[in-house]
Amino acid sequence: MSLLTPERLRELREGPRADRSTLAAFALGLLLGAVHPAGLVAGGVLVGLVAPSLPRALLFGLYLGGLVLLVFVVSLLFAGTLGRAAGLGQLALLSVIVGFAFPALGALGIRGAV
Amino acid sequence: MQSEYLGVAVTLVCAALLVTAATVAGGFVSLAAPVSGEAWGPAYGANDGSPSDSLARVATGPTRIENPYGTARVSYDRDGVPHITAGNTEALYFAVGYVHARDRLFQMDLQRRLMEGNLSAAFGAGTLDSDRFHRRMGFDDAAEASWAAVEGSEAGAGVRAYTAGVNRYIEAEPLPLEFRLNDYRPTRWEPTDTLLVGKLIAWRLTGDFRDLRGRVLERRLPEAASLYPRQLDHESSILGRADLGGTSGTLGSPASPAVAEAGPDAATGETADDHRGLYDSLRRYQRPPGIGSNSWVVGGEYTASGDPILANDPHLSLTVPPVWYEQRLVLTGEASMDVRGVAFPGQPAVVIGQNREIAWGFTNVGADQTDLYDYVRPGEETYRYRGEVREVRRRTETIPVKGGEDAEVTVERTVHGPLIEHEGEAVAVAWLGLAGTRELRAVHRLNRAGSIEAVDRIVRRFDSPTQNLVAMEGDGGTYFRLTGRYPIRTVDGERVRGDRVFNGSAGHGEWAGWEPYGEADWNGSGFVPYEAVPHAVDPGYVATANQRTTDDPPFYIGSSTRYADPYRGARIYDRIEDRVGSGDPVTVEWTRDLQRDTRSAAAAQFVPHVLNATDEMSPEARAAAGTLEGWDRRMDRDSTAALYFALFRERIRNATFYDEFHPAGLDAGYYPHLWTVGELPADSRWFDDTRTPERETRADVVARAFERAVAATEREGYGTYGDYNVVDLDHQFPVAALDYPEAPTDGSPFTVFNFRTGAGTQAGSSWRMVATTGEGSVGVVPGGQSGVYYSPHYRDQLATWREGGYREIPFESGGPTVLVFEDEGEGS
Repeated sequence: MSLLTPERLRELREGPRADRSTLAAFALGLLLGAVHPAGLVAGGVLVGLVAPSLPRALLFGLYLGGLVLLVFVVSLLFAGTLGRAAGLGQLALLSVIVGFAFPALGALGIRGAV
Repeated sequence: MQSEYLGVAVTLVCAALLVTAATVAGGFVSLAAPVSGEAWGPAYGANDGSPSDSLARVATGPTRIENPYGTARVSYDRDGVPHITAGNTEALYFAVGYVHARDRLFQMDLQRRLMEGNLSAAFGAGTLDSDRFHRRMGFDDAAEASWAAVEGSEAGAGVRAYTAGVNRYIEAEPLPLEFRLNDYRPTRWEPTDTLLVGKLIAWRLTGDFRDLRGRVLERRLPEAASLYPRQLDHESSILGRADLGGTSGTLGSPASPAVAEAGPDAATGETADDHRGLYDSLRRYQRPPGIGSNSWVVGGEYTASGDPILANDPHLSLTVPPVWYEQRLVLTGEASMDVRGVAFPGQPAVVIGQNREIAWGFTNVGADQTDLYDYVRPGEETYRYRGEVREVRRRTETIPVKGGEDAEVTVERTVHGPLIEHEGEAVAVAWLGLAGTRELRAVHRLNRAGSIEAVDRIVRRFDSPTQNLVAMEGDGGTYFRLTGRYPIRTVDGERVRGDRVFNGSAGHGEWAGWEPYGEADWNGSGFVPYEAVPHAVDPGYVATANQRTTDDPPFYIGSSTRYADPYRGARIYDRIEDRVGSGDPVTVEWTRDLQRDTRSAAAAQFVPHVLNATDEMSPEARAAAGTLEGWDRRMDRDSTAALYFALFRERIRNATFYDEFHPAGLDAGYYPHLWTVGELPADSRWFDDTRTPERETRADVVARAFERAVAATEREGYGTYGDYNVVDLDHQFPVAALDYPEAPTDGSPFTVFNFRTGAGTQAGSSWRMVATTGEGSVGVVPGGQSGVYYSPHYRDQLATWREGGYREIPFESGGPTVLVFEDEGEGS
């Protein structure tokens, strides 16, 4: 039995436990996004699955990217290296772009398919 | 239905974008991805004072690392200087290796790659020429020879422990950013890599091909011989102006018959080549011009405290990160030691610094340590040697090239050393450092020397490079000595100078008992006895600035082409003599002021020439020359006169010599010393422009050079010296963020406060130190302690250095213990 039947997906997205499943998807997505670059896409896929619509999937992906970037900034702040990291210029900018784009593409991509 | 199509389309577009990003920019994504990107790994743990590291230390204590040699503790002070304490030498050196790798691993790897000829494996085909040269020279084999000479000693055991410490870091800790950006990993550190770092330093200080240069000049412009005298016409030699009252030692004396040396025509090669092509292909690898240093020691009879004061600032290439790494090493127990100063990353011991009893420093002698030999060649693979035909020893090495096909280089050697060839011209190179030298042992022992007597005994093993060593001890002793070994060259039984290409086929000029890549009989007949090398015990004061050692050397040390112009040396002696003569005591503050002295003796020499040439100048240039009147001769950043003078100084030699040298195929690299130009009589033939029918004099040439300087000032938009004299230090790795920020500074190549700007690698004070007994010593490096980009100590000393400032370098840390090395088996 597939986990991604239309009924189950509808249950996830609009059922009584939709909030909980969204929260779980963000938590797992954040973990995945923080451990590997591909995890940003995988995390995006997770939050995209629980998004009730395509526009919401885009938003969820961007939210997840924002969360990962927030964790990133805070961790560098605590490591005392945020200013130096920001000083890397294009690499730091690319980090922001990847941080937002990959989860968003993952979320949109999966939500468009299922 | 329509929305389903839209969904599929969105999915396809997203998939296409992700696949494109992964294939086209996958490497950059892996680097830059937030949190997990490769580029950010080194950012965590790079700041020992950060909240996360401080909290971690509170929660779990310092980072614990297993050490097979015993326990050690590392704290970093507020400037990022490690204070390392251990119970035995090997435990200490293991920790030093770990700490060096933690702060400077990329630099260490780059240095060994350069010397072993392995840059292309990491950086691609652009470095192949460098790799070929270094492999032909066989520096790695020389390092093996030196390792064989030290591995059985206590220092050798220390190097093994140091090596293990470096490798422990490589195995367990995040690699620096540079490795990640360039996508390669360092190989394991080997003991010979530590020796290779030593060869790098020694080569940069004593390795040159100036004998080829002399030959080119001799063949192409023989009338210029008087421009390259054995001694420059000045009176500021090191021992000539030192206060040697009451001193014992070998101070130099007129050559006795036993060491009489023949002139430069006593031996010549037998081939007709002038070797210009060969020299031009090699000169980029020799000791760069402008590499020099200052040092002086003043005895207690002249100081306010009654204790000696020692100053040293070695002028080396200014790099990112700096050449030097500051550290304090403490041994507890019976073999107690407490030393601090600077080391070369890759070598464990302090090279310049002080312990609780003594302080010491080095400058380069400029001695001739490289002899060249050419041969009669019956065939491409043979050479004639002492009446027989010998095979050139050859082997082919493969050079791995990143992103390209492997390349090959043929390594050739003769009885004298590596045979270096370029377009059919070849010479064998005997560089003293190609044999098994033992300076690593000497420096190791120097760290724990307790007296001048001990220093004198220890430095006996300091085989290479040749250095002016100044030292002091707390009880009042002072010391000066030339370190290193001085080869004795003979031709047909007669001692000769080394400043020529020798006839290798006849066996001329060989160093008895010296074998390239092998052992050397340093105490044999091939080298000047240690006791005969100039040294002075308890001089009142002595100052070195790479000028010649003495006016009457007891043996051939070097020629004027290898010594520095006398400007810095003269200025230092002027000020010391004035101070001592005035009766005012020398203090640490006064010594610091002298180290920051920007008054140019070169300006004092040339400005009168400029002011005497104003009649030959345009009104505009004459007005500019007017700024030199009343100028205090200080090369300060806010000075317009200093700007004009610096640009004039850059041009005067070309204005003087171009018309004769260029037609002979000789570029600016062949011009004589600036001092020589300044001392030429006003009607010297060299001031005549051979391209004009008129007979020009000094005034004409000086005016021409000054006109060009003024034009350059306007062309470049310079307003003051600081617009031109900019510290602009770039990292070897071409990522702009890794470079230091640009800013103006004071000083010039010819002032005590030393800085050489211009294209290419800049040079200047690579470590500025004033040492005295007990507390009160100060120092500064041009950048920061850490080579880790994310560290707060990456360049935190740069502004202080640029402004001529210092930091205290006390024998205490004040910082928290960050690393604890535990004996394996102790556990945590």
